[in-house]
Amino acid sequence: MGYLSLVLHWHLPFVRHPEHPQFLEEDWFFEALSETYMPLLSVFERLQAEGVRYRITLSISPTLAEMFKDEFLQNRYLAYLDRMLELARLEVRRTTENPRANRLARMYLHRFQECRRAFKDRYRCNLLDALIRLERADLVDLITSTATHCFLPLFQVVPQVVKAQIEVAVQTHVGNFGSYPKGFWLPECGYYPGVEEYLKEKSLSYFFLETQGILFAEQRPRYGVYAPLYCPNMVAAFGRDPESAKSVWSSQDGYPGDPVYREFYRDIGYDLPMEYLKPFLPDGNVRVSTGIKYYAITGPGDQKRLYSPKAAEKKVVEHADHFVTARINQCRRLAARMDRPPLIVCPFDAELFGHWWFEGPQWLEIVLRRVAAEQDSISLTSPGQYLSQHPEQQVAQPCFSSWGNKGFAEVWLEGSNDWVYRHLHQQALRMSELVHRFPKEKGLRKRALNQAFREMLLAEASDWAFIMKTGTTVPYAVRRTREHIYNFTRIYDSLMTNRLQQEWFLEVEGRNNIFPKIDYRSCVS
Amino acid sequence: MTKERLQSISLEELEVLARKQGYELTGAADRAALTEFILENFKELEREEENNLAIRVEQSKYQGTERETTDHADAFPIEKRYNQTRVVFMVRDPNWAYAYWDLDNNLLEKLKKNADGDQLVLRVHDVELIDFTGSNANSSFDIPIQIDDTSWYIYLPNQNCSYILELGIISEDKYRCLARSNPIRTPRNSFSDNFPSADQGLTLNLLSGFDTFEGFGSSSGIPQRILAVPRE
Repeated sequence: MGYLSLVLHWHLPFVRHPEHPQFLEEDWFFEALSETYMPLLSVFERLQAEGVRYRITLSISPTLAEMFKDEFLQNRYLAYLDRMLELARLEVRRTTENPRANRLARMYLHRFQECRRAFKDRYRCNLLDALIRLERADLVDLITSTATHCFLPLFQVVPQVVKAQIEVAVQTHVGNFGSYPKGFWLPECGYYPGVEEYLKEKSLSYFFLETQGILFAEQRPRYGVYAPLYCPNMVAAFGRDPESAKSVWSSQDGYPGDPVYREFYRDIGYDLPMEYLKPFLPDGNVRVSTGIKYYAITGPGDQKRLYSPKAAEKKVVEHADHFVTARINQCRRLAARMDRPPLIVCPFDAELFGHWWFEGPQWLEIVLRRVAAEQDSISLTSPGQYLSQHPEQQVAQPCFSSWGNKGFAEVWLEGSNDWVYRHLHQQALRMSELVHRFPKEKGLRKRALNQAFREMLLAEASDWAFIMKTGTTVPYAVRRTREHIYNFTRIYDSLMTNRLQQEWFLEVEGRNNIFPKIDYRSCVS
Repeated sequence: MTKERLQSISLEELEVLARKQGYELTGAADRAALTEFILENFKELEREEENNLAIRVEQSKYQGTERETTDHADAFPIEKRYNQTRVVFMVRDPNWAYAYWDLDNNLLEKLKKNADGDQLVLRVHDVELIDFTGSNANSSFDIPIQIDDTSWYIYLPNQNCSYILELGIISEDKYRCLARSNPIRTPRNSFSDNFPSADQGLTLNLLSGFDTFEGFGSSSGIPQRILAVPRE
């Protein structure tokens, strides 16, 4: 009767600082490994082992995939886990007087132990193979996103960037996963009319859009967002379903805000005395979140109840049932008005599951089980599978859009971050100039050109503009933007004057070592 | 959503809309009260939208703490300007665009010397459906700027419309273009009037979350604002 297509976008920016013994922002990756990426993999693997059929689309951003296989970060994660294990053991001791808190401390200790065991033994420190296995079993479709999560609508004036971001992404994906991606995740669902031309050049056959990108298409969409539109060049655009999105994403009525779920913001890193936490904090004096959180959301106000995993588990089942029932009803309602089975597309940031919404992976697991049991009413599909079964669709040009606040580009272009574009665009023009001037280089000069290209891409990450806008760790985002523009410009100048300072260059090349097989000639205007 | 738009729909539709948003009807419906309730509620939704969970979840990935700010300007000096005369236009939403520009050093010096008589302007041209030659715009307007300005947000009156920007100078009532931007096209913020066929379209658009839509827009009070009119 109807289809459900779940899409999880996995992304973190490239953060790797071997020049420091420990680096706070690397924890983003470590936390996501423990809370989101490994828990999701274990959901997928458990269902597979039990023979539950499912189909889910995972967009793995190239920066994240590169970090998965980076040995330096793998080792740092193990060291991080060791610190967390020590802290969790201390917590078990500290809470002995309070049995409920103690149970939670033991839960965290157990989770960190499981993480360490799974990461080392099961995944051999590299999650890429696990993803490949799931794709080969036809349970998962792996797609890619721009090389460094570049928000493409703001790079229309430098199409060489759009092209290069897509090309490097596809190359990296093929290198990492050994398969060619069929579809593409536009970062932040950032779309402008015409970007599909670059997708088509790389044989990418579909992408995802915010709801109004479809609804406000040049021709009114016959089936709303419940069937894809083909762009005039026949690349397919799938629109986000607002009804299901609301039940998960709404800050008021969404599932993750339920009072029994674990509170994200109350972390012992902020609650316990500095003296006690000292050995576990960066520089011994900066409070950070540790991932050990004892409270439930409870309700408004600072008075929080202790978290009860049992109560949360019950609620997760309820919410998963509610979601599946609502989707079945939605399909029924839609099917009555359509001449083809409706398709409900639900894209999410993967880090919602586990990191923000602690119970999210459990919820997803139950949803996948329930849908597998309701195959007469609803079935899971991937966009690629859907298109091969229903190749005839309406053709219409979608509308400029994103899934950021208000649906356009405002999050990434406003007072706090607009200064970056002047430099990023200039850098792109200079990169193309370098390609024209040095079309066939070898040796150190080639390496310098490739590094200039890497620095350009790293500066273009939408993460930096996003952080400047939302206000957490702004100095780091500003620093990263400036650092990559500076590195790029220094290499550009030294190539133009034929004076490359080797020692500095080798240090930069060793540190910002993403995309080892990159070819600077991909950046042609 | 605007008052005018609400005034144009029937009382029954207003009632359904208000009830959907949690309005409890007692006695006969009062048009003014219903309108006020819907507008209030809409503002509420807009506030929530400002802080949507997708953004908050994404924000949570970058949790950290504000450490001492080191002076990045010293560690990574970057150029402020690029010694070229150039203007770039970027579309942000259906009604706003951003422009940044630069003047080459010679020009900048000259302008500074002549600062009294000359007025720098941004000239915005509506070039919808035309091949712009420099003088055939559908309409144009000027925004005076100062010599030290380097960027500006510009309100554009028409959605789904093409614009080009010029950086120019007016001296002794004569306009001279210094640089011309790339063209941009503002997105639409409403449904297209082009239907695939007569019998289809509207109901499924309604099902596509019309009733859960929180509305999109670049600023409040845009008359084309989508209105969640239930049709039962």
